[in-house]
Amino acid sequence: MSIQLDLLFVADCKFEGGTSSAIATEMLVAVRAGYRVGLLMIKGPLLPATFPTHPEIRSLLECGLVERIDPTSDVEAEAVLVHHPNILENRPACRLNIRTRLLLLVLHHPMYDRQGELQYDVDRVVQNCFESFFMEVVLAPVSDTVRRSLRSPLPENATLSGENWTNLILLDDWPRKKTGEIGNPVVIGRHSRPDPLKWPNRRADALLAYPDDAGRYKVRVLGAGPYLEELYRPVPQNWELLPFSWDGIPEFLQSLDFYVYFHSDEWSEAFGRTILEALAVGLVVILPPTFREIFAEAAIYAEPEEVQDIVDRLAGDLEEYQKQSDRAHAFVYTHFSADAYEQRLARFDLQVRFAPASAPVLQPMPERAILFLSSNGIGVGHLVQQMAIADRLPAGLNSVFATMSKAHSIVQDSGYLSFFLPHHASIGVPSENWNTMLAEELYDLIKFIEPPVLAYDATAVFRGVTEVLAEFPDLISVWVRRPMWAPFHEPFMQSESSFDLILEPGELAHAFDHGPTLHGTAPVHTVSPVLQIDPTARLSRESARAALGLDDEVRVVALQLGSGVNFDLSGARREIIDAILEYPDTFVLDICSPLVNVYPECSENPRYRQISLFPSFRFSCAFDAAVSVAGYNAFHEQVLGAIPTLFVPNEAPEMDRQAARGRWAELTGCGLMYRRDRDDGRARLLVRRLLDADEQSFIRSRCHAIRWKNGASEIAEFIEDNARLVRTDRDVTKDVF
Amino acid sequence: MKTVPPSKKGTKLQGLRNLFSRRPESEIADEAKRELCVHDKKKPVVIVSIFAVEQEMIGEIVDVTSKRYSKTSRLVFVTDCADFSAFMQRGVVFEYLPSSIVQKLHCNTMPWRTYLQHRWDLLLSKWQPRKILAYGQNIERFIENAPDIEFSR
Repeated sequence: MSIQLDLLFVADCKFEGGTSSAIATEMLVAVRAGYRVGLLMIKGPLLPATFPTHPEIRSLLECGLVERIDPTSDVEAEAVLVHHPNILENRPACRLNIRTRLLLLVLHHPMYDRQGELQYDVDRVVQNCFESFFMEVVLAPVSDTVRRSLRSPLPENATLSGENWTNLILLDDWPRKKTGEIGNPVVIGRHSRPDPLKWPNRRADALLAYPDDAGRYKVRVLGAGPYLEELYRPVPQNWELLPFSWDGIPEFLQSLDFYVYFHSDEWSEAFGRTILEALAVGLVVILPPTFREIFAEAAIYAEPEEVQDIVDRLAGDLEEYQKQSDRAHAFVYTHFSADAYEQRLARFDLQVRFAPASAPVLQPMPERAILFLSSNGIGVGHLVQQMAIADRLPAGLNSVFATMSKAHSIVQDSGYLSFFLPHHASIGVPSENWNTMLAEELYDLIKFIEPPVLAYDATAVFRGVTEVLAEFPDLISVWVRRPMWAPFHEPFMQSESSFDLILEPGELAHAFDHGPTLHGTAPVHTVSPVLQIDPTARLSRESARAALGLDDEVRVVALQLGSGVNFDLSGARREIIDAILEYPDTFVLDICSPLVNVYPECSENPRYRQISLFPSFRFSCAFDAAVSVAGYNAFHEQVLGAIPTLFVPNEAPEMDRQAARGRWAELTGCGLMYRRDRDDGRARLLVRRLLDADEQSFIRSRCHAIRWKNGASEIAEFIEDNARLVRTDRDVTKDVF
Repeated sequence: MKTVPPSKKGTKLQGLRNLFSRRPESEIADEAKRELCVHDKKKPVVIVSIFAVEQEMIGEIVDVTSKRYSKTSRLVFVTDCADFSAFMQRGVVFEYLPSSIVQKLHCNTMPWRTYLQHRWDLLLSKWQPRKILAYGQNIERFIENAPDIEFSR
């Protein structure tokens, strides 16, 4: 059964700036007017996959106001609105099962820039659009600037809309600035995405529009970045530089007296979404004359050298300032408000037909598999990271694991399907032959499971992996790569280009990282530190102690010293256990790695017990203190779980820089550290500190002060968005068969 | 940004396997054999399949077969048991295929019967065994019992 919609938006939702804001507003206005709205996401050629989905658009999907459309779904829509010509410069990599009676291509950008440089090939775009839907394409420019840039004759199968598809604004979201007083110094501001093309080419012009006279003016910039220093070195002292943000823009605009926007000679602004927002707030806006045909009397038009005179004049004439502010607001209300949109849709004969009340029950999204691939590792870190993400994927996306880890049963025990692909070291074969076979094994898995996304978690990137990824160019490949690499792993940085997307789980001790990942060349998106279990989701102390059979009055110290496969900690283990057991009220719970059944270095003491417990973090409220290796997962669990911990880093050369994490913990007061080869003989001293009530209270308070959100959710969102999109980021006509 | 090299391996990947799986051994090109076989053939390989066997029995099976064959052959165990501890404790080589229960739990994930046949062919190519011993279900039965759902994604 097909999905019936009034409006289907087709868009690349990674655009940071005005295009995505305009699409989000348009969808919300349509929903509020009663239209049933869907969104088919595109991965276009312009932006790398590391850009996240625009938060306003994601919010509409999450709260169900807009239906996410899977690329394989059958859809009947009254109108399809393809936003931005660039997204169809290449053909979709899969067939679109969409029927519609109106196909509209919204042109958010001029066909040529100010230098006459072609921005997109409209013939090619129209042909791709036509052959994707097999119907005539209505070209809808967002402004006269874009309309004029089109050359005649129009491409075959295209007509030009009689009216512009202008941006909309929800005035309730942009409360008017209270006028009556101008600041001293006067605050001049602007807002744009961080791009040098959005600024005047020459420093002299920039200083005319944004003067450096600190006594009279303050210049407040939202969307600043290192590029400004490169462009205008030095940036004037009176410029207040704020990073690009999706939040707090109305508040930013409220803090300004004047909004002044001048851009590069090479840039041709199609519309000017941020200008519209400033006008809606009622700011006095000063623009170059090219904007007159879009904003008419709502703004004041000038050359850069005229800006200061205009600012000075209006700052001293509040009556005139107020009149200009009123003109700005009224103009926005008349031309760009939500009411205008309903009238526009009516002119295209688009009535509400599938209002939610009368629409058929929503169909569940088609089920898709996400393939999580990981190397063996020393412990279970890669699998735990991947389960953290898999646990947070929405229904309909089924996680399938393929791992070289012998601990793969922990995945299966969690209810996931898991395949085991033994690493060459564990089957004793040469890596060259093994890589060829690995490619074969992966080829079969991908062929039969047909995942839209493959998420790879490993430091080592094997030839077998990169070869098979090249075989499936439409598969979105994500390398989830933790930081703190040892120099040993540097050669694997060359594999960056094999992946569509590199996501880096954040690291509390990132300031101590100076490894190879800092010098990569591919775009990387870093998220907050990742945990499988949120600290708040742990069992209470009482429940955990009851589950583990631990008395309430004993002081429990959990020991998690890993498999010891590549770094012998048996001596340290003995020394630390003995030191803890010197305290008569302590109990040592020695938690075995899933890769080890039992540690030979145990104690006969009745206050010592070995236990297999996975995931142990769920029970960690039962522990008064811990002794743990400083691998990524263990370290972040102990610190973010506020468990006073003595970290014992695994310092094998092939490991991540665990001692750096321990050092960070020592210096920040978030934990203590014992290094095998430096601290032997100091276990008693360190254990005394670990068990000291004041020290524990201090560590907990430091850990609780860390502001954190779980990066696993953000990675899951990335995967969800990439699993349900259509790729147009490569030219499929060039495929060789 | 991802760089997609021209497709060069796919045909070869499939071709090599087809070459091995569907033609008599005498016709297999030396190159194909070299590329797909992962070991050096100094010792012939014996594959020991252990399907649908009680987990407690696995250790004993490994011990018995190791005693009988490990001097003259290289043993590769193929199991459907997700708990690898019996193999890890004994330091033997093993491969894994999801059990019948796991296949049924995830029956919509893939065309299991076809996949398992491919996977078994691949394991034969990978290890090129001299002999196959079967404990519990043999491989033919194991594959025959797999869910056979028609897929139309």
